[in-house]
Amino acid sequence: MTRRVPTVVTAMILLAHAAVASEEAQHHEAGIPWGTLALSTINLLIFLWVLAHFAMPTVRTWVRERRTRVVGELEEAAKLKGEALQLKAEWEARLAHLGQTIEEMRTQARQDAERERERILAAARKTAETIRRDAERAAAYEVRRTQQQLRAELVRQALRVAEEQARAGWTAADQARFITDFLKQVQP
Amino acid sequence: MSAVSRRYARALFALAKEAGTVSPTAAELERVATLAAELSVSAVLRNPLLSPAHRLEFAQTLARESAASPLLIHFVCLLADHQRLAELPAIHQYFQNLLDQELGRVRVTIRSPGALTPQQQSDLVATFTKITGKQVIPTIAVDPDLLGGVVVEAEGKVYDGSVRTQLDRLAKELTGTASS
Repeated sequence: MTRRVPTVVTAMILLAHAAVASEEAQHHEAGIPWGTLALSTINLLIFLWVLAHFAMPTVRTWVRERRTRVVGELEEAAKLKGEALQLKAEWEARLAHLGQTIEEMRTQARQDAERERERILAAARKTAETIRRDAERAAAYEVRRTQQQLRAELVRQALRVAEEQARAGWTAADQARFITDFLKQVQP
Repeated sequence: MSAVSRRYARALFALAKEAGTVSPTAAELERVATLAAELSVSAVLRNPLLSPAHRLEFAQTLARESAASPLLIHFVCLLADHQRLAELPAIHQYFQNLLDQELGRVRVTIRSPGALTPQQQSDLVATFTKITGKQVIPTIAVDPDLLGGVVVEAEGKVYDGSVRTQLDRLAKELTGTASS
């Protein structure tokens, strides 16, 4: 069937050309050129048939596809438009509450800053207190140590003086008194 | 004083007591110990290169030179044999303690910065006779470092009535107050 179609078409074209040639030969004679007309009509019909048979399915398919594509694009555009409208609505809502949101954020930031300030101050106070306590402790220790050293030195000096006096001024009476006291102390 | 010297002293004391020669043995032991304590003799006694035979000979000579009794000569030879001659002074000291205990005596050391009067000495002896309940054999020593007062050592106890100790105690109290 497919092979037959081009053959028929070719034959019809050749016939049409033969008809046109014979017509041209008789042209110079008189009256309506019926042969030419018939051949032109056949040509037209063939042309229409060829168009209908070969071009139309492709054109139909192209149109159908184009339609489908256009419909899809329209749907996509509608969807995008819907999303855009939704986004627009959201942003409008946000913009409507923007002042409040900014105020809330500002309040939150102030509170956070206040809390942080309190925390830093508390830490600083604690550190300062620790440093002060350590310093007091160190100072007290130094004072105590110095007092001890002074007292020890005083005691050493006093003992040295007492020793010197005892060596220089110790009398037999002192010794006798010491022995008497000692004997009283050790008495059973 | 080591446990070894005490053991030897007790053994000798027991033998001397058995023989009824405690006091003469004590006197002989004192002479031998005095000789052994002398620097040159002590050096020989402690010399590890001295052979056992020479050590024994040296001990016998030492005992004979001190006019010791056979008991003490045997004792000194035994010490030489056991390489304990260096313990002689300590053995003598403990022997004296045992003898004093046996005779109801106690040796008391009295230290003072200067000489004591006879009255002071007799007062001290009388007091410590009462304290120990034994006959007191005093040893008087002068120690100028005491500054004043007296220190008595009896039966391992120290009775301290010296100015030095009182001053030290006072210093300790004062510095102790300072540290509190």
